[in-house]
Amino acid sequence: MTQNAAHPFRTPAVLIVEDDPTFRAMLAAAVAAAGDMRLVGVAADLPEGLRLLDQQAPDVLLVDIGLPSGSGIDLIRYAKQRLPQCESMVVTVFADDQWVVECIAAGATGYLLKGSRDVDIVQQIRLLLEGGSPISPAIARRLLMQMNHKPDGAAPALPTAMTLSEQEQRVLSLCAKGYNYKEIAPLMGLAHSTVETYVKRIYQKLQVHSKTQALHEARKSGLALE
Amino acid sequence: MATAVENSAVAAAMLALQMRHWRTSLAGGLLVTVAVAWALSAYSAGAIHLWLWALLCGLGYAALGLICLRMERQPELNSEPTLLRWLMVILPASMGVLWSSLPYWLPGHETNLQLLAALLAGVVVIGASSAAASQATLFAWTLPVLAIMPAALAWHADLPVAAASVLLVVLLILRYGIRLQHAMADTIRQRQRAEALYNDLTAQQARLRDLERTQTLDTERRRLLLDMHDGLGSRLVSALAVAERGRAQPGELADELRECINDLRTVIDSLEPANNDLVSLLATLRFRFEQPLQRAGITLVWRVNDLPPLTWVGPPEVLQVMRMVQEIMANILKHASACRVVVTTRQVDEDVELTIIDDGGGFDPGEPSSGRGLRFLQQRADKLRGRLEITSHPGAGTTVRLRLPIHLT
Repeated sequence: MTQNAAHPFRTPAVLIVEDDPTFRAMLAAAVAAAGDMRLVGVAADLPEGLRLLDQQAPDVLLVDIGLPSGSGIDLIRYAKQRLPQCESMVVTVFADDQWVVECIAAGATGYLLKGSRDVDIVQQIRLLLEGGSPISPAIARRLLMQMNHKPDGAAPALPTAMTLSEQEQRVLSLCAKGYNYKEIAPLMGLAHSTVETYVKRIYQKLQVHSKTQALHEARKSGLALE
Repeated sequence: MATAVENSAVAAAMLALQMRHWRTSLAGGLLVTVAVAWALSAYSAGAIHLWLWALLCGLGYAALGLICLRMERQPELNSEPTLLRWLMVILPASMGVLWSSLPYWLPGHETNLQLLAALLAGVVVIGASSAAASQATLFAWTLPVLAIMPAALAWHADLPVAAASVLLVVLLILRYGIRLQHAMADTIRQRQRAEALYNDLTAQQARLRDLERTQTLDTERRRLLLDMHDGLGSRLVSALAVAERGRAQPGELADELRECINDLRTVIDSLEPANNDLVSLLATLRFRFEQPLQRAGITLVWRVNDLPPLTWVGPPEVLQVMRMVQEIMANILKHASACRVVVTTRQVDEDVELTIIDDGGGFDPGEPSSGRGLRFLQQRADKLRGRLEITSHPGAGTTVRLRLPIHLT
């Protein structure tokens, strides 16, 4: 497999933030046993997670959404700001949760299903590091709905940084129909890596989109102080 | 009973109407009074008397104004038979007396002046009787005029013909006023009835909506319960049995529990809104089957094309379809020893068609051992009013074809 582009000569470092002890141990064991990645820290809560994130600068962050002292989304946002090369994965029970979309908007690039087998967990992390973490059809559908949503009729056309191009929409709608990247590439006459690039760009646009939308909503309700 | 309530509501509305216009009415009355006094005094030697008359009228208007102001500030006073309400009758009656006694304030021999005064008083009475007011107020205004004015004209001014004419005219005015009041009351009553009807209808609609929602929730709840009982419940029980035996194969319990979680995910997926699109549904299932199929060394060929949404499909039907596909996939994983599975969707006329083909070992559909799984699929297909077609031969793979109508006729 290919190594993380940022660190070609060292095995990727993984940080786990999960409050459930059993599942935390299981994740840690899976990562430790994988061989091609190393575990640099395990945290049970948000403050400890933030500390380890600063200290260890991991390549991969596995984070649960519901932590005792706050939301994992904050950690994802923090990681996105401080460590742009770090890939965040949400650990969740249900893949089509609206939470997952919110995590992607905060900067996550993939998610892990609780209850998956060890081999599947490691496989998902590898896929993420190779740059192609799959989107579930349900999430693709949600993304399509969210991104095609106009703030309101009177608002001016959104800048291209926030709207999906035709190609990107096609990628998403094929994902929503259950096709994986390997199948989408020949269907659209693209290289496999181009499809992955499209997906990354969709994620970035969602981040911009949700920030702008949050600001827009806040302004509408008179909350934004600017 | 209902009419009594209705009548009091109409009376209240009439009073409200009166209250809305009392300022202009009183200002108009005052203006006319001053104008009359001024005009008549220009022709009359007894001018002082006329100004006294005007002063009394003015006091009457002021008193009426004070009462109206009071009632306006405390609307609850309207509903009680208080001194205020009596004053609302007594004061108009005094005004009627003042206006109708106008001939007495003028010299009796000035007949032209008397006629002019009678004419002006008539105009004022017309004005008073066409304003919105209670019937008591109307009578309070007109009855004194009816009684005093003709008498004053006949005996004080010695104008019997004029007296008779005034009597006739005031009677006509009274009749006109009463009719006007009836018309107003009718309009108000009808509007109130329409409003009541509208409120009733709105309330009834809200009740119906509530009922519908409760029923939907109830159906949904029962469906979920039934499903939990048959699906997740029985799986958990069998997982428990595996655990209690204590001699489980490694991974057996984990597999069993994983199945439980999968089952729960299926139920949750079926609750996803706007899920009547078969393609989205298959996509969600594919995502779940990808890894087990990969592990079993089976290549999944995905030929899923856009389909029109099935108009009649709701969460229960979605769950049925999901369970069918799950069953078919589980069979392939368990029994077929296949290398390739092809999943295809297409539209055929007014139906959608889902085909799942594997190149595994196949089976003899006539054999009793294959019966249970097939019966399960057939039952679910029947519930969905779909057509199921399974073709298989030993050694030649299996084709499962499910057809569902786009619209239910």
